[in-house]
Amino acid sequence: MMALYDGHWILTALVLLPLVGGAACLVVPEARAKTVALATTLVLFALSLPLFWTFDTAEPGFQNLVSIPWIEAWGISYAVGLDGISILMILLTTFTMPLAVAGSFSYIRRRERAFYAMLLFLTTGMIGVFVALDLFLFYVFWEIMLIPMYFLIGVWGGERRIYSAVKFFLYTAVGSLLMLVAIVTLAWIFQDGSGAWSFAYEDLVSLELARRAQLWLFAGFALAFAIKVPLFPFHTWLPDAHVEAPTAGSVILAGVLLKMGVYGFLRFGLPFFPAAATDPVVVNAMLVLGLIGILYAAWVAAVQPDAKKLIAYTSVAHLGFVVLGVFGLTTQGIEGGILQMVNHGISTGALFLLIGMLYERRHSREIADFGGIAKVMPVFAFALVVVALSSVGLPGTNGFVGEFLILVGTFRTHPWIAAIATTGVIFAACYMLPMVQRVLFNRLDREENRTLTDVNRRERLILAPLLALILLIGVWPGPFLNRTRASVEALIEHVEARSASVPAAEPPSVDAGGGE
Amino acid sequence: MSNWVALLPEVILSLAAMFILMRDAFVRPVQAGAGGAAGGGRDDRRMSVDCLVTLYSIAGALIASLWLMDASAAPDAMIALDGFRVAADVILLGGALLVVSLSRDYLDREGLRSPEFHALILLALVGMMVLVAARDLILLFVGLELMSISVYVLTGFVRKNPRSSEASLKYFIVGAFASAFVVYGIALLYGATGTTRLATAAEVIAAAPAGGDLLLVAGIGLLLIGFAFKIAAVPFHMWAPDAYDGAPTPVTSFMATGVKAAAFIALLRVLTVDLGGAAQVWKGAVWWLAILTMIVPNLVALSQQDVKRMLAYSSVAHAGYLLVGVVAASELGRSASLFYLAAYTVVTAGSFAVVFHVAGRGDRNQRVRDYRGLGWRRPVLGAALLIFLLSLAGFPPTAGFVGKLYLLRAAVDAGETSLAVTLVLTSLVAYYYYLRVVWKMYFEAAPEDAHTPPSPKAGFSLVIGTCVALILLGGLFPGRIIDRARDALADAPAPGMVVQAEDPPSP
Repeated sequence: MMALYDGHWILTALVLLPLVGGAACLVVPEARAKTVALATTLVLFALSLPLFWTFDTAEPGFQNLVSIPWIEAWGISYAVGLDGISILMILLTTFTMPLAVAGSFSYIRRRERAFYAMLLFLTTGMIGVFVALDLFLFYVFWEIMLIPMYFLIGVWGGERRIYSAVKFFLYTAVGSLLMLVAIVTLAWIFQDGSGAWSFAYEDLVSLELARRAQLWLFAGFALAFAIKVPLFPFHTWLPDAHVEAPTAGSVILAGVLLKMGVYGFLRFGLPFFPAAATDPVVVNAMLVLGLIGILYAAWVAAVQPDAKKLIAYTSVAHLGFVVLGVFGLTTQGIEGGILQMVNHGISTGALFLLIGMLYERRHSREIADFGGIAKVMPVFAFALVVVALSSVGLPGTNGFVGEFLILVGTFRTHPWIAAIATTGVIFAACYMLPMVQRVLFNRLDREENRTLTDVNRRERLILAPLLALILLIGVWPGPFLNRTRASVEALIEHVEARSASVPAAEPPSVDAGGGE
Repeated sequence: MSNWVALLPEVILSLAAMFILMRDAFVRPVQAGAGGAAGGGRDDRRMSVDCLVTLYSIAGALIASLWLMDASAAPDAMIALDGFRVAADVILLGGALLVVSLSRDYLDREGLRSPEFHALILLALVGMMVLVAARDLILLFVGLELMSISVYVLTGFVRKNPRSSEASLKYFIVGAFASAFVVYGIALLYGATGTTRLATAAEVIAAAPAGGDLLLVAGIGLLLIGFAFKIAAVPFHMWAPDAYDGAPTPVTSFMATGVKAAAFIALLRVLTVDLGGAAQVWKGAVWWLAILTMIVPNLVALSQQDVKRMLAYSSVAHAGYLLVGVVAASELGRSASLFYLAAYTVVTAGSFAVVFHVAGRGDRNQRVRDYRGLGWRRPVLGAALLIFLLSLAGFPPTAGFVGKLYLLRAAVDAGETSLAVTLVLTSLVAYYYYLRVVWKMYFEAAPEDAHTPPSPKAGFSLVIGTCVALILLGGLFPGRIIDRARDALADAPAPGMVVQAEDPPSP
């Protein structure tokens, strides 16, 4: 069995399977669509799980590499592989999807076939983004993802769904399109030196670019990633998208989509443009924006009357921490950042699922509409408290490990920023705990809340793995950090070595910058 | 090989056009108003024959054109015989094949049964093919006029509809004006170079790179203005939305694909190959045309409430993207333009067809709001339109995306980064109005009394399906097409280059 699994087909299967499953969803009877979708995502998860064990923790480069020529005239190939930066992201995706599907069983009552097909098409795009090692392929997946998400928000969303869907689409597209120009420019610079066009990751990462070209091209990539993260001040699409999206949409947005910005920085931004990414101005700007995100989002979250919007803003704060960790440019910081992305996916995904369960029962997300429901929904209350504490970063939960590593890592290079960011942990408690208190505790003073039913078996099955992971990563993060270490260390080495050796003289190609 | 063989595709089409017209003279048409069941049936039968003759002759011309692929002509021949011409013919004939086969239902529905429709399409097609193949400025003008005059008539084909007549008149006046510019430009170019043969003119220009030659500058300028009118580049585009809007939709589709493609290909070849030696004269002007044509129509399209008119503006904007390939003025730019044009032709033919199908009798339902809920009521039609719109927007995995990437490469390769950035930013604007149709189709509920378009006929569905397949194929596996586009250009002679003739002209 292991020998069979050893093959390189697995990543491709992960990309193609949801596509097939999605197509199947469209043709089966309406009532069967959810079963097909759940089965597909469970198989997907089962397929991806052995990646975790077979992963070679000593190997900093790419594993399970497959490269097939695709458009040879342009140097484009179908190239996929995984390394320490992407493995946790892939597993996070395959772990989140069955939960998102199962969490929609009673929430989605109309156009089910299309809904589950969209979820699965989205999965193809997400896994594709994490495994692609050719920039053309990466861009195709990156863009394809927008369409199912646009539909998920627009068709099954709330009141202002059209506004939110279009805003989401256009915001993300601005960045993507400029990134496309930057990608083409990179491929052209490669052609200038070697005579042939190439979009292959390995080829483009080996380019030695002049400083000015690096800054322009980095700007082209960074805008796309910053919007996706979302980094303050590019975050305004996120609360709208989160609030209007159906539960599964929010879970995927928080769980996976938001990781792509940071993943992009780690995969492309830093290694392609080391001089730009270590430029003090760029680093400080990113750190300060991350910091503003942490503090500003915390304050805004604290005054939200809508629980879903509150959680949406906590995403901005959490991702601010991750950006801090990445641009602290230390091994701990980046490792912590990657782990924190996983943590955020789990805890925020769980929060959205819990709020979704509440909404299904009560058709309201206003914090003020609840109070004292711990008495009628004890299991729900337990889950919400654990997840909220994990989101705040209580020691013993996963959130603590990630934030601690990030702060330690950043402190080594930027002590003041780390010090200010630490207050963000306190602010997190200031918005999350009162929300928990006002929803779960206080007095049960509303008649309609007395009859709420506790979580059913399906919902418990959804919550159990999330709670288990929260505690598991909290007390035993070693296996997760192990898998990222070699690649992160190699990345830091690469960035430091290459940023020191930037050609001083500017070749004539530098004027072809990537953005204006 | 006899010289006449070089004209075989054009000859086939001309014969078919004459057959249709002559047949009309001998088979008595049914009197208007007296069209009983029998008369209607005969009318119908005759149109079927016309339609089939047209389709077969186009297909025949396509085969003839492909057969000519390996032939080559003397460098100073009046008609080109090379990969570039074949590539152009494939785009023009393929587009016409799609447009004609899709328009059958529309003509039936609107009662446009006169045989002249198909005859004029064929004649316009001959004009286009002469236009793109001409290696002599006089012949080029003949092709341009044959194409234009046929299309003026087609635009006003629905005589009962005043908007159609208005569109035709507008188009005719502006078009005649543009033709005058072209003729004057040709005259001045003749004055500057002493020849109407493009190959010879290219040698003259290459030999004496006189940027200050006023005659040459004025000649190129006038030629450029004339062509800018024909391809509807801003600021010479004012006629286009009205003409596109007023013309019967299949004709609009034909104008947006064939006419634009032919004029564009001719411009591409004349400017970047033959007048490539005088690039400094026209490059700045075309740069501005490209920038304006990308920005203005995209912004105007944002506020359009009518889908047909929105597509009209969008097709003007696509001319701007194509002009980026002209500014690049390289082999890469030319092959990028041809690829983009091919993708654009298929998508435009498909999307206009969906629009007239949805619009229903008398084109009553073609506002954006008439598309509410369409995606759920007619899932297959909606999905097809979705893919067309994504391709127009340049979204992967469609041919429109590959075409856009191709143009971006050409722009970056030529050092025109600002054009590349303008291209992507204006596509962003375009996303909004394409997405608006998508959200009407899928996100908004249809009103109670909504008109549900009939389920399309098998033939129509088949052609739409072909369009969708072509677009996805071009988006996922464009390798072969790219190789072809590149090869087509590889044998387009550069200025001053002499291509060895395989067959010397026989006496």
